[in-house]
Amino acid sequence: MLKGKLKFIFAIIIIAGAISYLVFSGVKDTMVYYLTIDELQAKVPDVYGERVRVSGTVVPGTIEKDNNGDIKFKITDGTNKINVNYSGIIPDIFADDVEAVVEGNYTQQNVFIADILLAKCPTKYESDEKLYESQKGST
Amino acid sequence: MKLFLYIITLILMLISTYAALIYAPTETIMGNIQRIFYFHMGTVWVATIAFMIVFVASIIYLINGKKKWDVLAYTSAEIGVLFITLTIITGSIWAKPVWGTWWTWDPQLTTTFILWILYIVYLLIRANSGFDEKKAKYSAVFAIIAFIDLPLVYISARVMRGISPVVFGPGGGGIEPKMLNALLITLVSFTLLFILLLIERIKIENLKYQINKLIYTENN
Repeated sequence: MLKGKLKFIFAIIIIAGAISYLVFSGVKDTMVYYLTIDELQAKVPDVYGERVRVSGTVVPGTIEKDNNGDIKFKITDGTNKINVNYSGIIPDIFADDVEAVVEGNYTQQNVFIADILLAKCPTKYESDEKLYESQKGST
Repeated sequence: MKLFLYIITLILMLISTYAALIYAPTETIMGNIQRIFYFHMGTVWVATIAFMIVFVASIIYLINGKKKWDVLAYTSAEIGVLFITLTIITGSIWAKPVWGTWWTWDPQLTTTFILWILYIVYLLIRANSGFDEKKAKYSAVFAIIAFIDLPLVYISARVMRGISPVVFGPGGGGIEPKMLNALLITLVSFTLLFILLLIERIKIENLKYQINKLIYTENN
């Protein structure tokens, strides 16, 4: 009796494991959290009018703020660039060279109209203390 | 012995609070808000240990059927749910200024959300089964299956595109030595806090069982 039950339990675990694996690998290939700029431009013209999320590095010196608080900037994947127009709350760490994630619509003339702007946080945590020491060391 | 554990935990919690808020240097890009990292990691650490215990205890319970393993799984899951809730809350507070949102459906956040739901469901099922051993065994099976999601939380941020940073391990940027010290002391103190909570919670659960047994014999 116990053996039968154990078999039943193991069967459930194996089935559940298989299902989760399939779901996970399925999601991994098709439903990505964001597109790269490359992938976005490869989807033209289907992508026009579709709501998408794109990530890229903010090109230094391209952030422009106007009087209404709207901002314009460019993001790049190293080779391709797109122009982003955004109005809304700007994350604290948003600046040159930060990896940004924008959500909205890609339009013709390479302009991305975003209504959500997120900034990726650094994966390396450094302090001013350390920077100060390394500067001291180099000079 | 337990008093000793209480005192040590209290002292270490105070030290880790000091380490996180004062001793650790301020992160350059994120600023002071990054200090929530230590508590965020402490809570997710406890939740991870708690759910691992639920997993192992549930397997042992299914094999030998001894009540104490069922109690261990149930009580540990309760603490795990509490701490994963705290993880989500501290993460949100951190994400709002830094990422610019309280929540986003990034792979790691999504798998964490699923984890949260799974163990809340487990608690509901388990609480419902009361002293019915058969139902307790079904909830143990559920707990074992739910555990599949835990590794996914860690893997998802590493193999899928998302916004959650991978700081440790391959592909991670790492943290400064002083930050690491603060983190380690926090993990130790949170582990002790978890052990303390677990001991007390098991005691309550056993008392509850004894009371119910008394009521049962009274009525029959």
